[in-house]
Amino acid sequence: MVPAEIVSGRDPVLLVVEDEVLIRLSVCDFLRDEGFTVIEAGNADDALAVLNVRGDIALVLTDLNMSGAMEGVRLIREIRRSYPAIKVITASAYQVTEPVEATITKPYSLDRLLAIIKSVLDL
Amino acid sequence: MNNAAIRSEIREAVTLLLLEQEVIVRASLAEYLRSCGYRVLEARSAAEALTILQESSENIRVVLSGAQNGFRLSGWLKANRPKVKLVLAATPERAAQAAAGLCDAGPHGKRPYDPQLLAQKIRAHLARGGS
Repeated sequence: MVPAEIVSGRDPVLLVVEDEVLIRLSVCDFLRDEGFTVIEAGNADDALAVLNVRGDIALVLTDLNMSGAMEGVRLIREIRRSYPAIKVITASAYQVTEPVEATITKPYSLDRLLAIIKSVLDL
Repeated sequence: MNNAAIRSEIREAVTLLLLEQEVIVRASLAEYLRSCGYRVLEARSAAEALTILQESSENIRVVLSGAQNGFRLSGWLKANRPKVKLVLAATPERAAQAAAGLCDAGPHGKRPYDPQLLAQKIRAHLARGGS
């Protein structure tokens, strides 16, 4: 479990899964500025490693196609199986067939993303 | 440059690039450093770090890196960003100590908690199943 000192804010903790570093940087920066605590992962395996050790993730925002594979689909299936309480939003140019709380199609505006996250989390 | 001068220089730097391949280590260090007042950019490879250094408009003053990736980056930094300070840490324990040192010199000028606790938690997380 995460030490209380490391969980820096009272706001929901988000896990952003994106393999393109500049997109990840931009999205995470924006969301931190909006008051969220944001954990970054660059692929599905890293995301699952984070989920395995942190019990405070409220929402996962994930790309679908990462490093040439539909890693996001595998991640969503594992989240649904092992972490059913966690909300999932996909951010991709691809259509998702898995059950998720919301989707946003790339390219997207950060304001639109924020609105969707707030809606999904009932903020 | 003496330690006081280095600390003074780092204190002015609020943006730090953290280069660490292991996601659990990186996330823990990043949160620790953010709680010290740093703006922390995260890279999971030398290639990602180079992309950030070359293509973003961030004024990065410090790079904290695991040893292997750091060595790959050090030549490029010397040639292209000689003013950027590169701090290498070979293990999570050393990275925690390095982060604590940066916190002492950072915007808030204090550690949020003992670096041994940070290292302990990172080890526990890794043992629990971090890849």
